[in-house]
Amino acid sequence: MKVLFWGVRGSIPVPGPLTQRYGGNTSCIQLETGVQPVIIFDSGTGIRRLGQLLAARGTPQEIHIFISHAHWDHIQGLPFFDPLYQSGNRITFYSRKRDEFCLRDIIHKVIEDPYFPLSHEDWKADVNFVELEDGAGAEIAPGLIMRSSRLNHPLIANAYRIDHQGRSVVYVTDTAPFDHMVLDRDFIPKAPDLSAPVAPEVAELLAVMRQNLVDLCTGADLVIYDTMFTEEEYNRNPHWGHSAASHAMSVCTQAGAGHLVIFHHAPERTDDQMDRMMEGIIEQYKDVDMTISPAIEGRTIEID
Amino acid sequence: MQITFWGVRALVPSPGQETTVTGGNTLCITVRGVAGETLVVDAGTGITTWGRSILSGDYGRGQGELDLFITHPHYDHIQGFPFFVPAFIPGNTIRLYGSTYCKRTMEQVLESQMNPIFSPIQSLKNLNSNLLFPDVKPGDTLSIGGLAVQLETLPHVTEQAMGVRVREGGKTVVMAPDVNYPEGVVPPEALAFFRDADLLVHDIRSFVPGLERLHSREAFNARDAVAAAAAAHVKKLVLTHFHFDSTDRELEQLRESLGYDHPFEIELAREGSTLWL
Repeated sequence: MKVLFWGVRGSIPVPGPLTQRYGGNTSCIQLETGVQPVIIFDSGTGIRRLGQLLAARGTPQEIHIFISHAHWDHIQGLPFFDPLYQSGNRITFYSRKRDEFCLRDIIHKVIEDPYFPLSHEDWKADVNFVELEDGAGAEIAPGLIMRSSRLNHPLIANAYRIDHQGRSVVYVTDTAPFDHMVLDRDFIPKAPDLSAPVAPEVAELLAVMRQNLVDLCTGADLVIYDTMFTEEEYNRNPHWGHSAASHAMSVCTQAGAGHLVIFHHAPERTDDQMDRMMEGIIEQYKDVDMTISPAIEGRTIEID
Repeated sequence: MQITFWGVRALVPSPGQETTVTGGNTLCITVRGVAGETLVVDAGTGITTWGRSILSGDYGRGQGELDLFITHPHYDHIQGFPFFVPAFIPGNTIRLYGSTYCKRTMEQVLESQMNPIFSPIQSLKNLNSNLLFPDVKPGDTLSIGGLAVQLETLPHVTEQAMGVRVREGGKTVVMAPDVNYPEGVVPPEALAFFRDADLLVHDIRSFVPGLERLHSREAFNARDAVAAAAAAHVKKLVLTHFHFDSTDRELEQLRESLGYDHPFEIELAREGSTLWL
């Protein structure tokens, strides 16, 4: 099983010399299992180059794209995903079901007037959408099992796990930790007081979400986790929906995961600053039995 | 006048080693007058770089004012706005122009880009600065301090886009960063708008229909831009709106292929560069 990092940046693509090493394209990760279908997590701008590679392979291809949530940085690459424009391909999108809207409508809106010169009517591939109930899973191909779990991020995000032949990867983004507040519909204009007590029903929901995520990550070989913030940044803006390394480590160590990948890098964080952040994290957890490494655009991690 | 390019790419930002010289951010141009007046054309991701660079001045203190002209509501012209830090600082005033070219208003276009589904900001109302949407029409003129601004409609495939002409003293810059001529013929209204400009900033693309708009790099040949510049007797042509896959090397070769025996200078816009008039 191989994990290929096509886009590792959060919020907005960041071109330029200061982000060359870690990369400036937004979230897109591919999982190569050795069998069909092609598995992709999210479609930030990183999906563009992946799409060029896939399109060069010809048709027909079966591609499954697991969308964590529809914030721009996770879907903005779609209009540039060449396989959508090749007939013969079959592309399936997965997302968490919401009653008020469906992913198909959202994606169609993304790719239409006035935002973009083409529309979904220009797609030639056979495209379908699977809306998942909370915590749903599926066998997406013989022996290829997908599971999901709700994350703590505005308008709700989904984490996904893929198991195949005894190997497993979990994609956990975007998420705040499960400590202080549930992020859903409401806009929170100011950082809440983190020392204030949490209402019992909120605390219970957070505990359930966290346990479900721990269950999802249990025994996983690799966990790719939204660790956009430093600890200080989280404390300043806990309502922004992202985690720091300590939150990821707490879940991953409890779950007995093997390897944590630091992911969804802040747009303003330069390569040198990322180096220092990684050094600090690795030093802090050097006595913990867990591999920790950074997501880097262009990197491949092999799981054997 | 200082004209600075903060983003020169079409359609989608293109990070990577091969685009670092020309730049990978999407469209944004700033014009600064001698008295410090500030005018911005387009809010692609380049506006986020500019936004951070001005925080040490009035815009960081909530005492800034600026006029932002969105030539067309395609993403590469608006995607940077939710990340434009001065828009979050109370006290700043931002006037946004461009409604004529949206099927709805500019305010509605920007608001739905910030829809809670797509953006954690959720709404323009959550930006703390003072946003205004003055009603302007093609042909209107307005003054920003000592900058005389004229707006015009230019063809843009099947829709239309805004051109912005700015004069300070005896010098004129015309910005047409997203314009295509469907028959390959530059209409007389466009030529009149470009006429005698000291600097014409023009879309490098010639018209290409349908899917090829995304994939065809042949359209990025500068033919129409050079023809327009020649017919309008401009003094200098700066090409912009490069395909996201065009590498720095390919763009250099393209510039070479245009030759040097034109009656005006031709340059490629480069992210981070400033031209003075």
